[in-house]
This record gives sequence, structure tokens and C-alpha cells, in this order.
Amino acid sequence: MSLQGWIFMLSAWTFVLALFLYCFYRILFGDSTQLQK
Amino acid sequence: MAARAGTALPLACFTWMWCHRLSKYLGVLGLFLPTVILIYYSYLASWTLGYSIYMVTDQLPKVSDTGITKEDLSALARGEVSDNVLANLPITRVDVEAFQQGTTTSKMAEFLKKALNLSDEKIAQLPPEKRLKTLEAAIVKEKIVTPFDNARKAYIGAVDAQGNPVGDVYRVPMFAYLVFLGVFLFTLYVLWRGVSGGIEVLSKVGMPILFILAVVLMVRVFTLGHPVSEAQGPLSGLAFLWEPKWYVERDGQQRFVLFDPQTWLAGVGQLFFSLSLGMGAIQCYASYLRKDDDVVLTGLSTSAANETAEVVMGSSIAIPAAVTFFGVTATQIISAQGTFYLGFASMPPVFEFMPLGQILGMLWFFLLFIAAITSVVALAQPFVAFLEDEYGFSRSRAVAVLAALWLPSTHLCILLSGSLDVMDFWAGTFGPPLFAFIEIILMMWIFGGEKMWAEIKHGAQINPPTFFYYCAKYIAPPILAFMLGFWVWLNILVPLINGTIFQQGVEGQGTGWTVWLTRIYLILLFIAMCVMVRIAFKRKRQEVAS
Repeated sequence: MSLQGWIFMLSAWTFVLALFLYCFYRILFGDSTQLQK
Repeated sequence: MAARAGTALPLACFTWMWCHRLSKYLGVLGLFLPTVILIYYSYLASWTLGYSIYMVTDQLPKVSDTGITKEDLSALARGEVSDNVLANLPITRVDVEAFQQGTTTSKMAEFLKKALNLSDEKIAQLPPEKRLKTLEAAIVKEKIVTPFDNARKAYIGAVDAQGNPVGDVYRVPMFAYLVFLGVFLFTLYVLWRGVSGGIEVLSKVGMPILFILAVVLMVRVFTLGHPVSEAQGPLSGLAFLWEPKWYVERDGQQRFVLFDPQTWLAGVGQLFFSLSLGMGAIQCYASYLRKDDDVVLTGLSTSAANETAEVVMGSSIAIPAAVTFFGVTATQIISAQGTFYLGFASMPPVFEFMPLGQILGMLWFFLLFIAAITSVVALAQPFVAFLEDEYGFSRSRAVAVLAALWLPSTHLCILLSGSLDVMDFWAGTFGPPLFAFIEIILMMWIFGGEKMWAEIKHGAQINPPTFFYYCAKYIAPPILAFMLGFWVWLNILVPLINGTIFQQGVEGQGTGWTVWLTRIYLILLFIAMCVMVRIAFKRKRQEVAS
């Protein structure tokens, strides 16, 4: 794979994975009311 | 907005945001679109479960039946065409050698035309380095993938036992029908159990399974190595997906990809369907949030989870596996035939070449089934919620009414040729961007962008940058309007000008009676829903007055 391909793929993967982990961290450990019954 | 409006339905949200008698009829789309998508998508979901059972019970065709082995594929990747590969094909070694030397025999031209839909002009323009790869792709498609596509057609009863088309009315095999009934009853059960007892439990169990299966399949694909050729591996598949192609050919001219409306149209279509935007399903789920719940965090986490499954996991399974065994050119041609072709026709032969392929194939189709069934339940919920909220029906009564509408309607897709595609064309492709356009105009321009922004930020842990406010107010509406306009131009006006619309129909499914019947059914369903909404609102007004 070319350098451009690697850059595109890793940027996209890093972005969505980081966002995914960040969001669930905020839901589980933040002061969100989502999990409160 | 649905949560703030205290309603489960886009149509009630619309009337809350815009006090006008037209608003409820615009909102009918939020009921019509998910219900139509439910009607055909539930049948598609049943295919994935049926294929999962087919994989484990070994009922699909075998590549080995055609006499092709992994060694033949390796030879093909090196540019050698073995006798096994040529057996039962309409071309001979003489045609292949002539083609390799730059001469296209009439048999070869016929073969390429049939397999890849290439015109004589296109064949003549093929550069020497692409000739062999094109031939390889045609052989893979005709010899390996086509038998599996025929098996898919046999699964839905579109062809008879000899592989001949059965005509306008499909003869659906009992197995496919029973699997659909199973999916139908299971969905009704989940809906009947309610939002927290059914839908929430399904998601809590289904989503972790989906992620685990995806990781298992990803690991398997990435550890495949180079079983066919050193030049073909999982990384070549990722390269095919991720290496940017800056120019595309349109009407014989090279065009910068970001200036090409078709690229944007394809992106918007994928985005809407994968995130269930503009279908009314997300609004319905959102209505179960409490008033002070964090809409920003919920929306962001939903999108992030979906994109992780799609961009990271989805892109690392089917295409890399297909490229590893069939090469880039063949995979490009296979994927251009559509999702059904890639999923149902190219993946089973790929699994056959893998160790433990039967089990992996079963897991792959089961993964697709979980993804589909959770969407089916989401699509069914708006109609059930409408009957509960607006007509005061009990949960079981609302589910029974949905079942009475859904089961006969899906029989159109099960039995009639082209019916599923007609429904998908209007409800799955055209409907969501149209509905999204109406929603954003209502929210940002009629209800008021400032009020909307304040609602979004209410209870939000993450403060959304103001940039998104300007995006929603000034950038998204013209882009959506342009996309819709271009879609109408490409799918309706150009075929009308060319005259192809009179043979192929707007939906590309011809103009036969099955297509007309489906169109008439969709119009009647929309009118019926408008009447239901009118009656519901009338009743509500009378209740308020009394």
C-alpha cells in the first residue's frame, strides 16, 4: 500500500476508534445521566 | 427534538415545531419510509440467516465442482490459464493466447461482453498490462462467482432447478419462506416485549456478539497471508479500499473526484442508510431519552460505534478476503455489481478456500443477520409507537396491526420480480435524503436555529462547536438540495431525455406489471397513512375540545 493509502486508512481508523472510546468513556465514567435510572 | 417534544414520532415532532396543517403530512414520511423499508429489508435479513444455515449445512455450490483449485488461481494470478480453468468456458487456449498477444477473437469478445459487459470499443482500448487482468477477472466471475449468484437466485425462487428464469412470479422455496417467517415472528416477539424488555435486550445481546464476530473474522482475514499469489494479500485489499483515486472517468473525460456529484451521491446514500438517517427510526429511539439526557453524547456515541463497525471492521473483512483469493481487478468488478453480489455470491467461494471456511462463512452471515435484525426492529418501532401514541392501542394490539400490514406486504417482495428493488429505490434511496432535507429546513429555519441549538446543548456534557450550527443552518440544506436535484437529474431526467425510461423504468426494473403493482401499492400505502394521521389528529383535537 502506498504512503497515501496508509495515511488515509490510519487517520480514519484512529479518528473513529478514538471517538468511540472517548464517547463510551464519557458515558461510563463521566457525569452523564444516561446510565442513571 | 423527539425527546423534548415528548413524542415517539417525527410527525408529532413536526407539528410541535411547525404549527401548520401541512406539517403532519410531511411527517407521514417518517412513518411511511421506515415501514416500507421494514417490508423489504426484513426479507433481506432472512436471506442472511438462511445463508448462515446453508453454510453450516453445506448446501451451497462448491468451487471444487467446477474443477478449480487454489493452484489454478495461483497460476491465473501469474498470468497462466490452466486447462481446468478453461474447461466448460466458451473460449479456448487459442483465444487466450491470441488475446495475450493483442488480438481479440470473436469468441473472446463475446465472452468478455457477457462476463464483464464490455463493449468492443472498450476491449480494443485495453492497454497490454490490463488485458490479462481483465481476462482473469472475467474468468473468476464466470467460473467461480456466477454459480453462487445463480444459487442466490435459486434461493429466492427467481430461477428453476435448471437455472432458467421463472418469469414475473417467483417460486420461493419452502426453506427461504420458513426462514422469513421465523425472522418475522422473532421480530414481532421482540416488539411485543416492548422497548426495554425486547429492543434493549436484543441490542445488549446482539451488539457485543456482532463486534466479537467481526473481530474474529478480521483476525482470520489478516492472518490469511498470501495463499494464491505474493502480489495478492489482505493488505492489497486494504490498498484497494484506502488508496485515494483522485480522478474518475465520466463520459470519457477525467474528472477530479471531489468535483464529481456521483461520488458525493454514493457517499450520501451510504451515510444515510448506515446511520438510519432520514428514516424516522432514530427519531423514534431518541424519543425514549429523558428531557435532560445528553443528546450530543448519545448521537456522537451512536455514530462512533457505527463507524467503528463499518469503517474499521467492515472494510477489513469482505474486500481484503476477496482480493486475497481473486485479485484486485476481479474484486473491483464483483463489488461494482452491488452489495448482494459481493456478500452472497463472492464470499461463499472465498470461505471455501479458507481452512474452517464453513464455520467462518456461517459466522459471517450470522454477523450480517444480527446487523440486519437490529435494524428491522428499529424500522418496525415507529409504526407501533404511532398506533400506541396516536390511537391509544395497547402494545400487543399495535404489534398485531403492524403484523397484519407487514406480512402480506412482504409477499410482494417474496413473489414479484423487481418489487423489492422498486421499494428500495423509492424508500431506501430517494426517501431518506428528501426526509432529511425537510427535517433540517423545519428545524433550522422554521422552528429556529437558535432554539434548536439551545435544545441540543441542553444537558450536554460535550459542548458542540458553533461550527456545526452554521453547518446545519447554511451548509447542509443547499448540499442536500443539490444532491436531491442531481439524483433526480441522473435517475429520472437523463433516462427521460435518452428515452431509456420507457424500457427500463425509473427504477431500472422494467415497466412490467409487477413494477406497476408495487408502485400502486406504495402510493396506496402512503395515502392510507395520510388518512390514518388525519383521523388521529382529528380525534386528538376533539379530545382537547371536550
